Amino acid sequence: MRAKSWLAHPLTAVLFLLAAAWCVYWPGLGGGFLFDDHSNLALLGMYGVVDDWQTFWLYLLSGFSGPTGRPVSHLSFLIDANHWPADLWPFKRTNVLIHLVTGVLLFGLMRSLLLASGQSTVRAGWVAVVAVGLWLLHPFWVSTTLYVVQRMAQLAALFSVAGLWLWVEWRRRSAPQADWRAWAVAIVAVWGVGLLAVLSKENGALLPALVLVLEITILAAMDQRRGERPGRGFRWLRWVVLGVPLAFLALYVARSVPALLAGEAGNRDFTPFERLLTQGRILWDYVLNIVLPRPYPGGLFNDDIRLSTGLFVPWITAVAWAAWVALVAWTIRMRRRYPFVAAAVLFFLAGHLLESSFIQLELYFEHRSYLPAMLVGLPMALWWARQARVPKDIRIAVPIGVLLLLAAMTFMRADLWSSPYLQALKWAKVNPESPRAQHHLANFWWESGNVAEAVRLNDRAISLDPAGLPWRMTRVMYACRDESLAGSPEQAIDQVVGALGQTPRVGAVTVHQTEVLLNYLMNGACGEWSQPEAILTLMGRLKAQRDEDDGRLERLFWQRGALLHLRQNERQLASDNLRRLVDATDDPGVALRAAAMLASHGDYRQALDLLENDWPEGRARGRLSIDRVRHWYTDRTGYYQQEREYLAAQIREDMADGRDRTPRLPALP
Amino acid sequence: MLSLSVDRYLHGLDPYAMKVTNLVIHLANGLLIFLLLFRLFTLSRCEKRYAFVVAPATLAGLTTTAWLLAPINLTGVLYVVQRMESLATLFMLVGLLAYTSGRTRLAGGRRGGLRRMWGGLMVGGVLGLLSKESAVMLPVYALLIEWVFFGFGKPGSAARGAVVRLFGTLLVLPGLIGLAWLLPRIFANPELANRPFDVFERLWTEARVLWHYLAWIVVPNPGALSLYHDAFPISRGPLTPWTTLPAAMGLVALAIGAVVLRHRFRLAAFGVLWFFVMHLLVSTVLNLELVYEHRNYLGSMGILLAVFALLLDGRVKELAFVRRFAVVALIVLYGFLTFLRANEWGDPVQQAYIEATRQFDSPRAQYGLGLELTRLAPPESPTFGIAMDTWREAAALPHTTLLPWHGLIYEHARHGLPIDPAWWAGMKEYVSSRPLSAQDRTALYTLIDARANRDIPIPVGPLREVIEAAREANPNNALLMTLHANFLLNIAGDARAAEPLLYEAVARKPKDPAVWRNLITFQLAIGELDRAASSIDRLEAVNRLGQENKAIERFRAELAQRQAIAGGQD
Repeated sequence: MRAKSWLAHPLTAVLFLLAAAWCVYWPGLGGGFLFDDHSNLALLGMYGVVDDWQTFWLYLLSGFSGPTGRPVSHLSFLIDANHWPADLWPFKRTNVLIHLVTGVLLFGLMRSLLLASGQSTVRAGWVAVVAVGLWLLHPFWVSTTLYVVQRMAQLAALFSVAGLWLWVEWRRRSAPQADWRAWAVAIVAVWGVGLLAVLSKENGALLPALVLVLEITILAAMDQRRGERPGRGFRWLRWVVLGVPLAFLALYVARSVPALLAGEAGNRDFTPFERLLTQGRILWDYVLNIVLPRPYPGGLFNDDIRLSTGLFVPWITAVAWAAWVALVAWTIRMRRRYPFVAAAVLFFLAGHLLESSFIQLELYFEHRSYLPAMLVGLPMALWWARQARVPKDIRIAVPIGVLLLLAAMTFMRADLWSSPYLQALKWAKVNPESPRAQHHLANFWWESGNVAEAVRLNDRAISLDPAGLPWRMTRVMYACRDESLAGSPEQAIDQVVGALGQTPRVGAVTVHQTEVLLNYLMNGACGEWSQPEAILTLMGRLKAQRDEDDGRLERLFWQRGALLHLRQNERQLASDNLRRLVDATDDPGVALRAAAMLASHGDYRQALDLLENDWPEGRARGRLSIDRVRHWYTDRTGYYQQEREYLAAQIREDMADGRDRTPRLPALP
Repeated sequence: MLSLSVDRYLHGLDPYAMKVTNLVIHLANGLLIFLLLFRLFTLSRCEKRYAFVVAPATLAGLTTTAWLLAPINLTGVLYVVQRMESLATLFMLVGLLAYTSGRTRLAGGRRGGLRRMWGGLMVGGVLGLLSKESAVMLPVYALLIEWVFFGFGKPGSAARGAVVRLFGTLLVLPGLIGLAWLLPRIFANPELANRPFDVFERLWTEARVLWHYLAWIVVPNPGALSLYHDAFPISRGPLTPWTTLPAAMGLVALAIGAVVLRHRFRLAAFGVLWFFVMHLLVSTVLNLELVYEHRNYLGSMGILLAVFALLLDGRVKELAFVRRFAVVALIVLYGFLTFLRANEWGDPVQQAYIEATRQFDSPRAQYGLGLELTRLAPPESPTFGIAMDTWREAAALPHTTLLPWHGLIYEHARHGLPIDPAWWAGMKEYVSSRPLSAQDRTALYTLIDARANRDIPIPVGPLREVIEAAREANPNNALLMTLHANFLLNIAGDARAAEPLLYEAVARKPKDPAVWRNLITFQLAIGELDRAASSIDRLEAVNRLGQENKAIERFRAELAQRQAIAGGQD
């Protein structure tokens, strides 16, 4: 055989794919932070610039998303900035680089799987190139890669793929036996790398399930082909290494089962069972978007999905579920005959087990398929490579054409991500039934002064979802600005109060929106409605609607209430509010800020009193959580104690001087 | 676009540098055409009956020289924006060369042929498309070469299969998808937006236009070639004017003749069909203007080749010297005419004058002349009178635009001369009855601008009437809304009435920089600085190609200045 030039080597092709992916993502690196970015990345500035070990540890341990706090993801944000607010560009760049690294690992994994199934080295290399290209250049992942906070999902995927590759490569190279080396590799691959994945995002806990999928499909077929039956020791190893974490996971998930059985909606618009039903359809929608990609829509607004409230409402629910059941039954039966098809299907479903079942998360997100869909291209690429009757030029041209098409669509989507305004226009246009998309665009018009258009879009959101709080609150701001276009503020406020009474959930978005509204009113932009009494009355009415909530809204009201009382020179009331706030949060950080707030308004005695007599104990919530670790750390280093003493000393000094001073910790989180 | 930016980066906005670059591209295209033709001629060299009275290389050289010097290609070179066309042609030619080279390898059983064919068409096509959309015709050109010179290979051979698959993938499949998408849209709504003709009228008219192109290529008449062909009479049906149907039938006959006689007169048939390829795209159903000479940039090579191949056919032995001489004479003639024309282009006034005298029925040409003349002449000079007469005549032409009226009113107001009410009436009639082009809107805009910013006493009352009439005729046109708002704001002094118009305009055209610019100017003027800042961000978002950079810079500077003043007052 003629020696192939280095140009015709699969690795060259992988490099080329990486370069292509970098190029198509390049235009998307501009733009602005979105939604959850702000709350998660604000941690970077919570303890000041992260430039010493103490701030470093406090920062890492302060994550609030999920029980782990996702410290690995937060660690990775330090690559891009150690302060907040920060420049967006490096964050997105690192996200794209992570996407590329995952691509390289995925190439390794796929090549190992193909070699394990007895493909020749040449074919394994090229099929893996095509399959990895299908994933790497797919437009469906733009909203994961270019949405900074989805770094978490990306890292969980990256570590999962690394673990899978290690496992498969080891299995391919050695017989299924259990010597000490086998134990070591298995534990590193699943527990070690898996832990990194979990600490990036909880989804990483599914790594053992994904390994199991490969074990019962491609690797089982490999053992069969080689005529090697896994020995008893090896089966033990599998049970322990995969079974133990899965058992823990099952126990953890089991906590949600009572809610499923009881049909408790919690703070969502749907019950767990309804969610489960709906996911049958949503999973097919993911599949459709992956197999038949389109340049648009794609995005973050998926609130126009119709909920399945019964197996036949809408009737397609039953069809969707029946199709999944049939497909799973077929793949399990055929898993040794068509191991790659079976692996792709089961991998997809296993990867969706946590986020797309009955746990009460939002219904739909594109990033949820980021890892689960990784193997979808593999059986397709392999099938195509096996079509010996198709002439060679077509066999080469079709994958190149498909990859070019995907790249073009990814480019179009990424380009949109660099411009939040154009993106908002596009989303509102392609999701006409999504109130969030309309509301999001309305905000852009509002900022540039086009009240008429903002009112039109916001009213559209209201008509789509009359009980939605965000658009109702926005309406108040519009009414303040221009009564002739948006009606009277009074009426708008009444509607907010009514909507708050109806809504089943007060999520982060609602709290944020309330904050925006209060800030707007407190800035004096709404005439008589900006008077402190009027705002206090409004907060009282809102609170009356939600007296049994978990209290995020309430905490916001206490804090803003204190500020308003201070403005009116009602020091006692302000101090009461802040004490309640400190009581409810039981957080020394909040106490420090509260004291600073009082002191900065000249109320030194109340501030010192709060620091000295009402200092919270700061007990950690939950048994196994990042909070507990952080508390252990702050206790051990005496962080809050030092800050408390420092602030108290400052206040005493100011008191002696009798002058105002700017608080060191100006705002509440 | 990129190459224009490179030019601009290196030389600023110097038209000389841009034209030199264009010329270099033109010469490179000539070289590529020579290589392509030479390769194609040598393919059929072995067949005696295709011999010519000159060597193949000479024929290729003659055709290339004629193409390089052809007067019809001048607008493609000296009109800077047509860089897009010449650059797209460059990439298409590279693609075709790669195709031909690969195809020869495939036919000869050598390796790497298919790779060159696929690569040439795909890479050349993509790069060409990034220059101009006309590069979608690259596979069609390749198909023509394949059909005439290679005949798709021997029936049943591997080469034939490979070629069929290539064209199936790169031409037939995308072509069918494209047509399935395009045709229903066009025939569902045959009215063409902002044009005084519909799809069917365009098709009929183009039949006549194509004959004009043919004539301009082979026997260029310096009196007919022009940048402006806006006065070209539109065919409203097959017999209005009566030449339409014969022209259409003639084209069909020409195409069929080429197909039927392709074995006897291979190069001539090839040339004729080559000419038609680009016109399949630009001279059929798309919503474009009717006539532009640069549309023949690549196609003219085909016609020149056809003429030369017929003149120099080796099967006829008689008068060989005379025929050779005739070809050379033609080339010299082309060179001479192009030289003259290029000279005209060197001086704007001369160019305008010559264009206007040749295209005496073209309103654009007349307007251009008037404009150049008024730049030179004070009102007391006779030249001024000539300019005004030119415009008066232009305004009376059937395909006129707002520009001549605008010129008359503007110049008279500028010099304090009385304005004829008939001009206003003409404008008003025009805006209420015709679709308004970008030029027409510019004409209205400059009148507003003259009054508001240049202290030229344009009378307000009649201007208001014209603008209101235009708005009434086009109530949903966002740009007219902005124009109206501009008038209300800067001349009538009625900000309250202007504001909703500006906002409605941006809501209707949220991606149009022009409407954003107006809104920002307004917001800055009335001191809404936060909103202006956010609107500048929007303008930046829709500034995809950097064309608004200067405006953004200016707005930001003004914003900073006003913010500083506002800050100082606090």
